[in-house]
Amino acid sequence: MAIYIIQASLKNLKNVRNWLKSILDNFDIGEKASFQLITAVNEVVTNVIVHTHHENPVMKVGIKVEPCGDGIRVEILDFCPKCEVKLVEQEGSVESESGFGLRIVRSLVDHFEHRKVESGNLFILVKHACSRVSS
Amino acid sequence: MNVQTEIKKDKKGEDVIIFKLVGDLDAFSSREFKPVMIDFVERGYKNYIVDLSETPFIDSSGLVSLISLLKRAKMLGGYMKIAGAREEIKEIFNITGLDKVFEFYDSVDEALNSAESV
Repeated sequence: MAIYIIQASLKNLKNVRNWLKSILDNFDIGEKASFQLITAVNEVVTNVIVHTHHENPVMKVGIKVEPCGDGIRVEILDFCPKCEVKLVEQEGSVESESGFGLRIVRSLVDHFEHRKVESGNLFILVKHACSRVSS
Repeated sequence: MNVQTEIKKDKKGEDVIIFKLVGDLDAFSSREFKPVMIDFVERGYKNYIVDLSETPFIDSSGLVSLISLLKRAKMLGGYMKIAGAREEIKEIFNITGLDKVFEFYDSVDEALNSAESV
């Protein structure tokens, strides 16, 4: 298991991706599955930084990675017990220039859920080795 | 991310701005790209090719910045095309349905030579 805690700044996105890549390189889930999981995690972390923490670098985001069967489970925690998170399911729209992030997440991982826990909002992503990509 | 900019002529002899995005296009780097893009739009340039051949990663914020450029180009009566995108990048366009919104070309030259399609 590996844990990474970052300040809620978009500057840290690249660090998150590099950190996750270095961990996934030790697992045999395949390059494509690895890229897809990194992309999905990047979307969730971005969402937490922008919409939950409003890019306030005093706030933290935690990322935990662990093996899960033939794949990987990633948990993302916003450390904000009072923050309410609503996952708005919508079609991505060129007109509104929005709605693409959640679609990317749901398409690239095998399981995605949001749970309210004592320490904040927890997002769980599971990616199996060589798993499908929906379109 | 580094934005390399070049002005070329398309098949019709019109100016085309080539943006070569070197590095990841994420929520942070999109903010670096946007003012560069807006500067050219405000100077009246209407035709754009975005070269993603050295862009190993794109997220939804990156997609939105490209949509923004596409819409601005079309408003000016021009076009915006994507060149050189890697397969894993194209996949992000596919799953969001944006593969039907943008025109994709294997290279900048190919995009320039197809310039009559808007």
